[in-house]
Amino acid sequence: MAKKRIGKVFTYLFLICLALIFLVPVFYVFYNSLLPKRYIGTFVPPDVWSFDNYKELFSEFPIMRWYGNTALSTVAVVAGNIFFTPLAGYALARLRFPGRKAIFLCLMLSMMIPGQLVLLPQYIMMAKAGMVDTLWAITLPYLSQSMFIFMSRQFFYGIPEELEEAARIDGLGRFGTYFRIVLPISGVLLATIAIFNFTGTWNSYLVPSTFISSADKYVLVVGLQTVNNQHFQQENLTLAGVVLLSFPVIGFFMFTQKFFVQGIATAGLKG
Amino acid sequence: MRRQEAVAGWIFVLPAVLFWLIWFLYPALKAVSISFFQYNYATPETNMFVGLANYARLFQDPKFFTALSHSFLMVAVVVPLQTLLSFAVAVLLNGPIRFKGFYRSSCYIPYVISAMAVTIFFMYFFLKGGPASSFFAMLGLENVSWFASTKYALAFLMIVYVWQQVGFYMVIFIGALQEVPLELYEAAKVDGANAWQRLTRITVPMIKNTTYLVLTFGMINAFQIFDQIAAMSKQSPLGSPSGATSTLVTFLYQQSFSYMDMGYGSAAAVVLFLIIFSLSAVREVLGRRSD
Repeated sequence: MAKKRIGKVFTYLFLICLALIFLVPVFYVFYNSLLPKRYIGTFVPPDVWSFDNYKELFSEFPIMRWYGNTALSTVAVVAGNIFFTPLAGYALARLRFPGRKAIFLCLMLSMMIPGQLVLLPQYIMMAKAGMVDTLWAITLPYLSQSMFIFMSRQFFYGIPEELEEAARIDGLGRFGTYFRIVLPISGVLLATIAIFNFTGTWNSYLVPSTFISSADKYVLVVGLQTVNNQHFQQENLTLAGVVLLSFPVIGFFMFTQKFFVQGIATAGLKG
Repeated sequence: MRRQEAVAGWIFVLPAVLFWLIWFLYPALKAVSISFFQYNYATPETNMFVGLANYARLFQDPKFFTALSHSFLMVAVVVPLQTLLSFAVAVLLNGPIRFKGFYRSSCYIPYVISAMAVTIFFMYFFLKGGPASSFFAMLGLENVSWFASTKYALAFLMIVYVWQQVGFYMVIFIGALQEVPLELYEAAKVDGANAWQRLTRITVPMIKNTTYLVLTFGMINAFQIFDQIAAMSKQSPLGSPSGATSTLVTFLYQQSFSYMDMGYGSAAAVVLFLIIFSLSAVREVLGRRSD
């Protein structure tokens, strides 16, 4: 029995250390973003804390513009994926049509193709279409992502078919069945796609930093890199930038965290 | 009936297939074809077919081999480390623990923050005299700015990366652990198996498929690290300090977008694809055989 108790103590000790390793940096960032430069890394009473660093960033950089660009492209991408990918995933799981196997194979293959391979040709296509340095460049190609089609397919495989059969006997067509019966019970799938896609798009750097060059069209991540390049010596300013970029995703995560775990467990990531 | 189902099926997949053809298949094939050319998008008059010359050049380029070895080293260290850690944490959190949700969320939070942001604040921890470098200095390492030291930069990159990724794989493992039937553990307990035996004889084999998935995902992702390196390099060339963090991805990116040597960059991208593809295929075959 004593042995068991010691085991328990160690488990909690380990978990607490782990939580500290993950949480302390996050608090450190937030706390220091509130301090004037001379107090960085020290403990000072709350009356020295202020939002001055944030004010300075807002006056020096078009932060609201960057928020707008990030929000616009993220919302558009998520909307696209929520609409297109379950549709395709459903057909791949449930409907029999010629070419189904081939499409699925291509899907699997494209998940192994690194995004960096297609980046340059995409850039050339964008340039020809006059889309380089516009928000189209970071939105249009990403409206339907293979990863989410795969997740949707796995999800629809896992849910029972009886409901749909009943609906079909009642005379609903394929589209009616999908939109009226299947989608309403697929909340977990849609939430999972939304969550992954939201954080992924909001945080992505490679694509926007390649396709966008004028500062007024930056998204936040690229903007943060600019702040970092100009003000790395001023830790307080850069950390305020880190907070500005991160708090919307952390907030979003807090709201949806129930789905995070449930979603991953159900959406076919079990292998 | 059959016909109607087929038509519906095609209508359902059509938008996704069109996006895939235009923005994925075509660019992927185009990249392969560019890799056989001396190619610059801006000066089409000098583009010319060079056959396998770009590939031949790669295999004589010491910078390419440095980048390649860094990529493999990243994968070799990071993938086992994050898999073991996330598995261990998942097993602990799957047991009878109070405040599970709290621990789980703390592990997951880093994953939702952008890699760019995470790298930036880790750079402050690992500045010369910063909290983390001072800590490691007590353990006998040099007190330097890790990200700016050719000796420590790669280790810095690995630490940042694993710190951020563990939570994601942990959640995947938790999902799998919840599917293992409890009766198995009960029966093993009755037979006198201790905790370690239950872990290695029941848990590990039962979640084998998930482990394969985590390894494959982990490998594909680790080969593609980019944002962190861009953050570390700031305005210096990618892969700074002096190439200590260059990887296959930064190499190909620089060739294509900094030096405008797009055929050469594309050849490196094709090599990256071939590596990822063959490792995934090998993993798949090995996984099948052990079933």
